[in-house]
Amino acid sequence: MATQSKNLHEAVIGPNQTYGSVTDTIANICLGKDAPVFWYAGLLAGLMLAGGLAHGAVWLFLNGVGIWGLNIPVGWGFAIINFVWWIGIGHAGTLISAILLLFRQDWRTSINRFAEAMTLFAVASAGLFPLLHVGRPWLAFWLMPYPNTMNVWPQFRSPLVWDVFAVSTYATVSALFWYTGLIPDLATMRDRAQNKVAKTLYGIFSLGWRGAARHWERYEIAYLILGGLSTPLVVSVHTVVSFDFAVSVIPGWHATLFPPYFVAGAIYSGFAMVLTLAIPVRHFYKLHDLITMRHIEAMAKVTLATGLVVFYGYLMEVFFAWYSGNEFEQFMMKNRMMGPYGHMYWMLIFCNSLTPQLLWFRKVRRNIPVLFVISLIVNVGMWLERFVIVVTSLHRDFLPSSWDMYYPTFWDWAIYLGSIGQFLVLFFLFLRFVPMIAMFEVKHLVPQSEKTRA
Amino acid sequence: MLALDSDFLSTNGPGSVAMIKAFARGRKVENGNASGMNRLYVVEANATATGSNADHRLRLKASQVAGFAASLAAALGVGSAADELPEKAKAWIEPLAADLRANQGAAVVIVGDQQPAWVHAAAHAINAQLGAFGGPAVVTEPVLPAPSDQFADLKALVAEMESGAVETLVILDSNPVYNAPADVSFTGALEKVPFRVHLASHHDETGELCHWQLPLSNFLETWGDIRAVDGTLTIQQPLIEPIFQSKSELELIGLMLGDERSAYEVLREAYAQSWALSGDAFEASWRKAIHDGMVADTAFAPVEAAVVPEWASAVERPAASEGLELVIRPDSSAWDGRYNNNGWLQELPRPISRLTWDNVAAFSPATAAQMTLRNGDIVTLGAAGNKVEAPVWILPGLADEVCVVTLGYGREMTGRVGTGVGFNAYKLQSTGSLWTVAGLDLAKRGRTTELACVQDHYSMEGRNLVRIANAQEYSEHPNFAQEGGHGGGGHDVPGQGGPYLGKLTDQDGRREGAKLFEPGKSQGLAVADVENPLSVYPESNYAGYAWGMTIDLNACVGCNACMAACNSENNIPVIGKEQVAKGREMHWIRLDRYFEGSEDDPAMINQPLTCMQCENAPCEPVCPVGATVHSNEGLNDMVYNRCVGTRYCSNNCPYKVRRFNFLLYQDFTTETLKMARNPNVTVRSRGVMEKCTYCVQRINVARIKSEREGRAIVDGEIQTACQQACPAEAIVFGNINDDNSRVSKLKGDSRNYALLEELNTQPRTSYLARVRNINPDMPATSTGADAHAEA
Repeated sequence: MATQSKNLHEAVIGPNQTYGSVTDTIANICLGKDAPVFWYAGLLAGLMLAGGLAHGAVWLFLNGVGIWGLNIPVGWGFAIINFVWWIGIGHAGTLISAILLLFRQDWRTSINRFAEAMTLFAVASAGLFPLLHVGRPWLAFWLMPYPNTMNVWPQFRSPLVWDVFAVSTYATVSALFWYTGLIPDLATMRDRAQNKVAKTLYGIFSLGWRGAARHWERYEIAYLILGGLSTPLVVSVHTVVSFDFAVSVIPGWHATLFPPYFVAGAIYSGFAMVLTLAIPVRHFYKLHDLITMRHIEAMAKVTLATGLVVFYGYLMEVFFAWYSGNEFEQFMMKNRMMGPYGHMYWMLIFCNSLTPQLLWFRKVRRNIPVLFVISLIVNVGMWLERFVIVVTSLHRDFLPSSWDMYYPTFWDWAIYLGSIGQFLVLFFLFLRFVPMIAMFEVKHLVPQSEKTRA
Repeated sequence: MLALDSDFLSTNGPGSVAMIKAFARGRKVENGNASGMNRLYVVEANATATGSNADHRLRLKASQVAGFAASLAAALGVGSAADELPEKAKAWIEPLAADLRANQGAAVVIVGDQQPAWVHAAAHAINAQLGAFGGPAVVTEPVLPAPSDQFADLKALVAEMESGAVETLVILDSNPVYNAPADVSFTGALEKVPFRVHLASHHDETGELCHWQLPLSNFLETWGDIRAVDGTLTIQQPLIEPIFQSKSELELIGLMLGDERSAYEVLREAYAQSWALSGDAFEASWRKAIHDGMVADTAFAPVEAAVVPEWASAVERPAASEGLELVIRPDSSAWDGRYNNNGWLQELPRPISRLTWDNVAAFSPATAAQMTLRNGDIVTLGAAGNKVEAPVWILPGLADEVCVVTLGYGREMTGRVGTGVGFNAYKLQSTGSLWTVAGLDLAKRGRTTELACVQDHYSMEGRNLVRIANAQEYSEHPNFAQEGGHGGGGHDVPGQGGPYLGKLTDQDGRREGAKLFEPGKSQGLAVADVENPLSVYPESNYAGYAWGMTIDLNACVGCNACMAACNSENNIPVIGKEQVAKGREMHWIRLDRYFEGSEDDPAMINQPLTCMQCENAPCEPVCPVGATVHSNEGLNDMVYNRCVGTRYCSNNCPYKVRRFNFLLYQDFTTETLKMARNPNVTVRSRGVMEKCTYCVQRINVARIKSEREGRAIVDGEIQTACQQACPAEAIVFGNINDDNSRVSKLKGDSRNYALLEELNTQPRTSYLARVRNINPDMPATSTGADAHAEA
């Protein structure tokens, strides 16, 4: 109780902040002559990993998906695991921006911009995989409905077609939402930029924003509408992704539990990723006054809550297998726990179910290094979850004669790590060239900050 | 029938197709009536397709088979004395002899070609005693015109070559440099011959050491004639002009004699002389013989033969070996090495072991455990003064203290397929001990290698996939298959696919393994209600044809012919060992093999599996581009052009019969391969899913033909490739809308069941459950006889 009331009174941003100081802190990151060493190091690491992606993709297009460890029965491997993982990570941004906006949670303002950026880049990484994954990528556009001379349409009963709609809608709305929210800040950047090129570019993208009252009015309406549009997407996208599995007949996939369990998992991994990114950014750019302990702690709490839902999902899977009385379901569960991939399952339980229990403790929630490690563990855990779902269900299904093992190859790893590289490159470019915190929104909180000063 | 180390139900030996056909016909049972069913006893060292069909199977070292035959002969009153035998084998003799005696005139003992003459003599004596001659066994003049001891001939030739007496040596379609036994130094002698000519289809080891290598025509390119095992003459009619400038043996011999006529002319003249016909009369007989595929009434007449009373001492009787015994057998794919360069055969999983692309040193689990061998370990085998390195494979069902190897590998000069595949077991063979070598020398090398096996899991996990009943249960419950059936149990071999496998089957397999069919108890699974199919989609209505298939598990002997036929019919690519090891084999029909009972003494079960052409096909609704769709005749069609390769259909297929072109598996450039392809079947490229189509191209040919003739397709007009090749007639295909079609009638049989019917996929292919003709007086084996005794 004491903690809660204390938090309520705790200011969202640090003391001694003025309108000017907020703008300076954030805008100077982009407009400063040089970037910190940390930035160069991060970008270089990202580029190196992304090189693996480029190399892997070229090799893949030249040879085919046989360069991966796939086989029959395991027709889906890293590509689908990574796709679901990235899409899941992409959920936090919209949740923070849209739902917290609707619930008027003002602490969102310090983190929403880069959470949304993270969403976009995660969706960009996710979007790669379905394309890389198909056997004939040059024909992947056949999944889109378009009028054609063959008079053939996609097969609308297939969850993969639903995926195309869900993910493309999500990407579009997230991009619009993010960009709309950026416009006032881009105008600020335009006004402050000294460099001619920067001035011109910021000028173009700020769409002639002058800060007039009518601009603000329209902006607020547009932003609220987009927030309203995004909200159902938070739930729908991962529900549809879960249908890729739940609609099938394969034990371990065929479960009504999947939609809520996937959505919770997505938010869980998304928040973990926001923490993973926010903690170093806050440290290196010295943003302690803008991203305060209150933000960090709130994110830790959401992580714990969604982690518990995910844990409940794991328990229910076991219960369903037992209660179904279906020998295939029961075998699947037994195989998941004690089969050749059993270690993956127990690592997953450790990462996703046991580790976040530490977040019950306020001390842990406010201990930055520990929290950072926990967030990494959760990210790994959520990847393992997808591995367990995709691989252990497929590798031993109905007929023991078709059972086989799946071992990832060098190219599986190169492309997976490469997608992380692509994400990092985009994220570091974002840090350098786009205001990472919504300046004008944080300014709403400056009066609070001034109160603390007094 | 008693098969003594005889693999007569494989497609290897002479007359095997006829034997399989006759055997399978003797297994046909209908609606609870199993009275006319034959019974097969198998005593063998190897684990063969024949053994998988046994009603009772005894694992015995190859060298102990003679002792078994002696004991059986004694029990039947033709031998002198019983022999020292292992306990298990001893328990067999009395009830087996009683059963054979009770079937006087209908029982027969069959001996494998690789058993020594003494065992054959014993079998003849037993068969004579059982009145088999004139009944199931027939004696004729030998098919070979002048049988001789070929090894003695070869040794004599080698001696002459050594002495320089041979000036010119012409070798016709033979590769003695590779396959002469180790104690015949053919290679050294060959080099002493001043002029050496080799006629062969490939440039091989022998050709390499000859001055001239002459190209041999394929048997499909040339005229000739052949005698079948019963003596029937067949005129060999070519299907194609020689692709390359080659000669047949007949033509080469003719050339050497100064006769430049073609094989065709030579053959016609020989038959004209033999028939003493000319002009139109000859032409009519010639055409009839070619049309019929054989020359009528040329089978040898049975001859009167009696077994000499002193048969037991007429030939030398080999002793049973002590310790580890090497058993050498021809390979089901490479045979003696001549098919070593054939990709289809290399990739065809060997019966029972389901291995591809290698020969192995196979051991029973108990023997392997004793010697701490694991799958893939490299060992050195020492015999006949030679040592070869071989990979280990642990195969349940082999006799203990036996190492089984197959011939035909380790070729040094062969084509791009066979080079570097396997090890040469001929080096372990000597003329004194051709097929069984006592006291095998074995040493571990401490290295391992990967082998490409298409089926890693051995056990049915207690699932009722192959439903089996004993003949007695079958007569009492003809509907046993539809009432839930009896799933086999079985075990994994440790190290097969993961460290936890053994544990899992200890809990599952053993519990289910002993369980037998219990009337009225389905294993916790709903049996699909065919009258009220559960689907949100409207039921399809098939006005015209509705294609369906039945596979009779009681007839299938597990010979692999269906797989080979499908490869050829449907342009299925050969993908190589590495890809097979990754689990990407492309066969549209596969032959699943399960072990039932204990790992040490299992029964073996075969189940051919094709695309089931489900009515509610799980693959169809998940394809995002509609590349797999239902036809109006109920086929589950693949539209290759439309497939983008998401592989969702394969994931959602409970039978996992779909195959994916993970890489560019087809060879589009090699000219000869272009000619090998079926022009009616699309050649699939990279990134596309494929699967069994029920040979839709054959359906379409028949449809076009019938429409032009203004009639319906008649039953039996369409045969799928697998059905056509099946010597056991286990596969029946036809129109299930026609109540009178064979397939409809079989689907009405009480043994008919659908695989995984509880998933409501409503497969068009259904199975006829297997029935075992167990002799209740026999000692317990894992074929279900022990459970029977409990019941």
